[in-house]
Amino acid sequence: MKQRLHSETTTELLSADELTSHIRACALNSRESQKKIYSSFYGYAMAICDRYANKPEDAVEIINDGFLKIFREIHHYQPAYNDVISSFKGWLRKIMIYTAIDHFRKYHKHQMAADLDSVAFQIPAYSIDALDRISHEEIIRSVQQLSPGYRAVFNLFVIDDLSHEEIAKHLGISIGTSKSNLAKARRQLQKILFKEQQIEIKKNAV
Amino acid sequence: MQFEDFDKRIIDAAEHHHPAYEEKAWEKMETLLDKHMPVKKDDRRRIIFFLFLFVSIGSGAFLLFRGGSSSQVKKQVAEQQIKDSKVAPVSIPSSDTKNGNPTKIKQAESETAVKEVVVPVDKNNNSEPVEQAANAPANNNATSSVADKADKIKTSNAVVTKEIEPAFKSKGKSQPLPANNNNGKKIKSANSLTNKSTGDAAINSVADGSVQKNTTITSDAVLNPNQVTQEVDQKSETTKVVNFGDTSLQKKSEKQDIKPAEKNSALASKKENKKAGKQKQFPLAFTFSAGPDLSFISLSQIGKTTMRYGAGLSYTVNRFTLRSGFYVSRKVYSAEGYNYHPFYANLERVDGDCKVFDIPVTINYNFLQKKNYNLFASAGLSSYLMKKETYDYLSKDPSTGTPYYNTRTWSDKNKHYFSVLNVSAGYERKFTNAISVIAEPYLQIPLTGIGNGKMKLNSAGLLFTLSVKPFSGKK
Repeated sequence: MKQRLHSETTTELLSADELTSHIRACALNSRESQKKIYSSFYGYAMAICDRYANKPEDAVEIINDGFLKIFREIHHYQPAYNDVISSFKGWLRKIMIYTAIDHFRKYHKHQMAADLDSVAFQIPAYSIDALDRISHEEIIRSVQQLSPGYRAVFNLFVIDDLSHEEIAKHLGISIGTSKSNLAKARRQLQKILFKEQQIEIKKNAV
Repeated sequence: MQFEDFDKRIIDAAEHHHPAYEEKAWEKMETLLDKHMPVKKDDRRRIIFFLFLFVSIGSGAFLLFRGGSSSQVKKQVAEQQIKDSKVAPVSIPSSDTKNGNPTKIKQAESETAVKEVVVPVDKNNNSEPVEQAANAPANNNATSSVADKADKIKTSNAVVTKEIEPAFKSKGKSQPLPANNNNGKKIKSANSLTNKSTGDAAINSVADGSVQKNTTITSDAVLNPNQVTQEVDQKSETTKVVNFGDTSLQKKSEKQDIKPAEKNSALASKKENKKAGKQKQFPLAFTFSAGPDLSFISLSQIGKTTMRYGAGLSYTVNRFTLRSGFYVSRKVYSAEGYNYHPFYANLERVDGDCKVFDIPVTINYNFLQKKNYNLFASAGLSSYLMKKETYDYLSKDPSTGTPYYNTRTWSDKNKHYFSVLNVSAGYERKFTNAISVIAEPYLQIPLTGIGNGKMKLNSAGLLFTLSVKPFSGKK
């Protein structure tokens, strides 16, 4: 999986030394340190998880399952490189994505679309420009409104940068199914965003 | 492709998406952690530790209080007994001899009140006791009346053989005194009043039969059974005389030669004093200790020698001594990285410097107790309170071999209740009954991991202790 480096826009509540100290304490099952890490990386982790969930409670379930995995394995954790925080974030991100995949497989596996021989999909130009008028939160909300299968494939391919081979492997589907779901996801998202745009235009008109 | 721009917009939105932290989410997380990764609590050990400490202190205070109060009580009892050991009047109860009924002589039981003894009346009994009674010394006022009464006794052929039993204030058996009994009735003799009595008796009569103190009478004295009752107080080695019948009989008692009785009373009082003296001794000691202490993770990883010092209490019962205290020590040691938990792959070495409060509870077995010294073996458990922990970490980059150093400090974080095994042996040299010095080599072996790195921190040393018993009495 090609790791995409995202901009560090979340507030850094812990310094590198503090993070190292809390990681060691978490290895000893310290509740205090576990809460500290949880609260510090909650925003970063939830930004990943709630894209894969339709409801807030599902998103909380994914993030909590993800952190449980992290706290269970944190005594094995070794920073991949000198930047402790970036290393930890990269590890955290991977765990959250895989947890989201597990969540999808557990609840929505049957909702994958069938293969399509060919997919021709074009996004109208006005839709792309219209995205500029819609806020980031609304775009994310639109992604959340996708069908579960579409949503999973779209997030994994477009945002989390997995290949169709990797997606097929993790979701237990064929590569073709992955591609077709991606195409359908884009179409559906476009419709949703267009609706949002129309609503936005009406708001501005008023 | 068009959708690249579309995807770019979506990615940009995702990067700017930052949900706020919610405490409710942590509450759910905490529930999940408590279910799958529960925190092991030391509450049980902590509760047991404080309970044991409370019971030890409470027992020590209770015994201290009881020891002090009981010794005071005994002292008061001894003093009272000494006071009561003065001469007291003797009285012998009289019965109706007019009808020839057997005389009833109330005798003073040992340690109790008057005991009644039935003595058959023999009309032909000799009048020797009467004569003796008649010849008993009396005060000026009573002499004539005694003589008159003696004549009356003769004529009435009433012979009273007196059984004078020593009476004790406390419980005890009565020991009847021998009397001159020519009718063949033998009466047991008392300890000291019988053999050396000279026959002189002085009797004070009391109208109402009440006990009169400060009068004495010998075993050979014969009294009017109708008029006199007698109590004998052996402890005081005197007898009391009470007159129940004829109030005209006025007799006074005199102190007799009761040297054996005095000796017995002196011996008895000495015994009581000894008991009181022994009971003053209370086997509680205060201890003050100091000595070198060496910490090590393994025999190949020896640390630095530091000082261990503190104070405590000990309580001895027979061959066992219960000890506890509060000691301060500094544990300085080095360990290979693999000894540190959790394990870090690149960690080469850890240097620890920890200030520890050590609270041991141990039991000594004194297997050789001599007048001047003791040899003992000891075992118990210690609680380590890690006051301050400082660790220096040495890590190495596996690819380049570059060393990295890091230092961490924790304060009041780790507490290990009853987690260290204490074993030792020692030699105690007694200088006085209250002061002794102990030399005690010891070994402390952890039962769990100690400190932030959960390392098996062993300690060994030699502890010198000054023991002071503030409540020791004379032996």
